[in-house]
Amino acid sequence: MAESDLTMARPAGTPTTQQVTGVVRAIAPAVFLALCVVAWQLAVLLLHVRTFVLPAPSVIILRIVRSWPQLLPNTLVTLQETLIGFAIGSLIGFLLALLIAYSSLLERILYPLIVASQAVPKIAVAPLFILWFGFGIWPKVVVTVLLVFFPVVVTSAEGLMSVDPNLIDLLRSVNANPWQIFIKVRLPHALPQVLAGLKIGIALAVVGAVVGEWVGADKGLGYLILFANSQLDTTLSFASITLLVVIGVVLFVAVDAIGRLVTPWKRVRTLDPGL
Amino acid sequence: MTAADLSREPVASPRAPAIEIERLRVAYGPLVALEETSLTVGACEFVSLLGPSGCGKTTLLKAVAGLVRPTSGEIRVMGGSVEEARRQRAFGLVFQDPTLLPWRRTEANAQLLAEIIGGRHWDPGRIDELLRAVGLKGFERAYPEALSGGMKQRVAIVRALAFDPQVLLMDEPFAALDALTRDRLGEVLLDVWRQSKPVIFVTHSIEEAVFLSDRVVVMTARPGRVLDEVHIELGRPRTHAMKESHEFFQATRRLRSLIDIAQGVAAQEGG
Repeated sequence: MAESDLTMARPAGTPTTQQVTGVVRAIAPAVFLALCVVAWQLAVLLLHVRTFVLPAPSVIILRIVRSWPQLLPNTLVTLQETLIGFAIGSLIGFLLALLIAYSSLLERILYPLIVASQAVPKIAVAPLFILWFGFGIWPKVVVTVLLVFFPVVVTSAEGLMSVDPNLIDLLRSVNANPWQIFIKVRLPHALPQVLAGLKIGIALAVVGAVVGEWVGADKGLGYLILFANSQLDTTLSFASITLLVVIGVVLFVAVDAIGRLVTPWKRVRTLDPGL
Repeated sequence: MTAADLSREPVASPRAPAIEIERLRVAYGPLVALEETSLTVGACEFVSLLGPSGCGKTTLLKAVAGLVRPTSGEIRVMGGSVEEARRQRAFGLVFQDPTLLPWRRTEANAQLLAEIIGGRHWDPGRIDELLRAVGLKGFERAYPEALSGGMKQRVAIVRALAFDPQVLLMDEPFAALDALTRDRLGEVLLDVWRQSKPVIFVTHSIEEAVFLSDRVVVMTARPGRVLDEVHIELGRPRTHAMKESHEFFQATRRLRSLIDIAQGVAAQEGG
């Protein structure tokens, strides 16, 4: 009987087929990206597109190298705003989720406000933040926090509240205290969903920092893009955007990797960034 | 004091009452789940609750475990109140769903409750022994995701017994399993139980109830009440051969007719 319990054999292809599939899966994203870049390059060359309309990828890369002394400090500023905003936003989001999960009254009070906060266009309130928090990184951080906390609070609250009531009963039957129930069951149960919220949050954090910079800044990649546009320096604009994309992707992959590290029981069947 | 109480050997007579339920009534608002329910379970007695859906079997179990507050009536566990018993960590619970924690491996899942209770009730040797007894040797490091339904339920049984509770309460623990696994797990359960403590076992299966129990209590639905009970005159240890015996057939036939009555009563009252 035990044997029949244990039969977990899954249909396996021949090793060669599997190996081939594995290699294809590993390199497919890179190949596709390379094809897109080549197509872009060829299109610009063959159609004689002028650089201030759409620079070729080679031109952008050269510009990144050449303007590195200008790009690097601005990148670091935006990175700093992104990370601080992400950290504060995640923390606030998670704390709000705790309040919501543990009090249905607070849920009723807080949830409408939290949803309403997302309906406010950030670009419209960002000037106020400059008025309130000055001209430094803080108004940008606040915009980022506003964008980041929302997905975190929603997914975390959901995770914290979706514990099987039987499990709670089981722990109560041995007189477990609320802290034990939280630390042994609720928190680890919610962890995958908290991490899902953090992944959305980190992607939005970069956007938040740039939005904040657009409203009023004298450094940062968002500021640099505005500046480049005003000079019709499309290549610099694209160079900045490229670095923003790099920041966004690297941070996302980092959060995803940390997530996998802290939830080792989850099989690799979630979104596979293939990077 | 508490430790001394817990280490106490079962009362001399195996039929001496360990759980006494007297005229229990449980109502959820206007909905009466249980009414006028009285039941006594002996110190080492295996009692099954049998009855149609909605007859309050689960409610009865939860009331004994102190998870549902009775509207009226009284429950005494080991001579004390339910709250006292709960403080002494008297209850081992198993549900239909194994409710394992997906982030814990077999071993860690099995010791969850023992961990919360802590102290002298955390005995890794005992957990190891139980895991071997239920046939999970070699799967200590497996995550629940890698286990079959039957294996998960074995872990849940070990988890409930790991801290040596005074009472075992099981709510349709094998209902979600296929018939073969179900039979096998029934034997495993009897094996690890070894007539060491009182069991209340909720089930929908007449054969299962007869095979496992010393006594089967039939309940009616809406509101739940005790209709009648059948003593199972089979010796222990139970064997498969007993399923062919005259006593087994008699008990199942008697229970089937009681279930018919229970359902008839339910239909009449419902209509």
